[in-house]
Amino acid sequence: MKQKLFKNYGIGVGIRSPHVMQFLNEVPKSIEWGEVVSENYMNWQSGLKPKAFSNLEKMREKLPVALHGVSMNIGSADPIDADYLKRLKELANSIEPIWISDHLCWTGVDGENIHDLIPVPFTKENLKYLSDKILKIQDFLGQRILIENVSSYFEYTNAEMTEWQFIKELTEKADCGILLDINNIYVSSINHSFNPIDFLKSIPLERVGQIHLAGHSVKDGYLIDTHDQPVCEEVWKLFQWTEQNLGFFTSMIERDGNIPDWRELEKEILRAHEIRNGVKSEFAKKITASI
Amino acid sequence: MNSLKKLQLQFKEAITKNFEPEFLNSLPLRETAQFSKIQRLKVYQNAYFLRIEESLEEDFPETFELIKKTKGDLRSQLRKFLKENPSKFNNLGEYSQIFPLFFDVKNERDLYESANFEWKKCITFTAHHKKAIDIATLSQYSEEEILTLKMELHPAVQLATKGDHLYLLYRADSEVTTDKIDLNSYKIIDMILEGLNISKIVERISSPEELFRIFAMLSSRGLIVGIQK
Repeated sequence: MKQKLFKNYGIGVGIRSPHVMQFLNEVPKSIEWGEVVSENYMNWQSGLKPKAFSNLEKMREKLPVALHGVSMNIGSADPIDADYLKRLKELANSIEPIWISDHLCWTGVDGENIHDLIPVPFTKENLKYLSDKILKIQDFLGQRILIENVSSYFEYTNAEMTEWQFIKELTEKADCGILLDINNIYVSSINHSFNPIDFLKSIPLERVGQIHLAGHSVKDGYLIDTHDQPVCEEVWKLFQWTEQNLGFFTSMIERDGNIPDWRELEKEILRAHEIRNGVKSEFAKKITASI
Repeated sequence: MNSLKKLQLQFKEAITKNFEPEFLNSLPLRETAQFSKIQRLKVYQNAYFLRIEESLEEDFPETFELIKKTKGDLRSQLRKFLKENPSKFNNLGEYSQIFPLFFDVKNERDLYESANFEWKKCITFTAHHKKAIDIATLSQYSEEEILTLKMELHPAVQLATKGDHLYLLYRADSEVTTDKIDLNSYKIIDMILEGLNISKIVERISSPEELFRIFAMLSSRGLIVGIQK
């Protein structure tokens, strides 16, 4: 068994603006770490420094924080956005996050941003292109980054491998980590008719740094990754399966739209704890029985 | 042009502006009996438009109302804006700065003023906090030195015009505050924001008392955050 590259920080949450005050006053006991969206705290392209940054500094004093970006645009044919990376590095230097993550996707091309996470072609040529790019990004940032699988609604005809084969090879070639979004796996499994367990089983576990749990919407028979609903039962089952079969990883609830009040959101965090504690108890029983 | 760039340019077009079925069906996508290529692309097309519409609506609620009132069709105006001004920003919040300019170039004064005013409010809301200084510290400088000083205002301070009125925008207790001000005050604050020193400002105004009145007003609101030589 290979040594895990990332520490397990426990169960956390994506900290969004409606709940920032909650965290500034006192970190809820159910939370062991938090994730923030990098772009909300980075200096703007115009140089404007957002006031939210000082809130992040204060939160960081109280708990471990991961930076999660949506605009690194790794999969784009455009070269690396040096200005973006510079601003991200400045933020990382001030905050000292537990890690930095972004998505396996492209968000724009030709200097224009679509502000969406569009899948990359799963080809050998792209594997080489992306691994070189990630290596350069990690070199610049001075740390290993985590790459998240996205939900997708289409597949390119030139695909030479499955998404999970691509992720395995890419992360090994680029020596980066994986942010495993279980909801995204589930959404794509329905939209492209595959078994989500096949995906989970093939992931190089030593590279998994973090797990996202989120909700989605159902539209005309397909699923859309809206992050505006509670985590669905199928995704909870996949999380439990992951904990039982693959081990425990830093995990969190991600909610970006329709954000409920803290008490409501915390119910999902408590459920994640409950699943984890349940799986640990099962293990303990098995160990006791085997002695 | 490499094949990846060619592919991505095609998809960018399909998501942002070319919704012709013939073009969408020509894209190299897998199709299933369950969902056609067009249905699959529509998810991205809708998301692109809705995400940006929501972000703009959050920043420009009054301008949205004004567009509905004066133009009737908000959606077609927004689509036009998106087609003419694709985002080149990493952050949707920052992309909003282009919205007022869209009306400016079309010479739509009311919409421009409304959007520009709301954009300034966004900056006032977003800018980081700096602690105010005590204006009494000026007394440590000689008269000669005072003339060479530049005042640094809080990063949230903005000036704006709307209708016949001039405004000073700032944050008070974390809330965006908009105070109507007179033309002299507007000009003087503008000169401070431009980075002119006290000597240069005095040269351009009719009475030094005006300047002291403005300093006192800015200081009482905690908006002077630095003095530079």
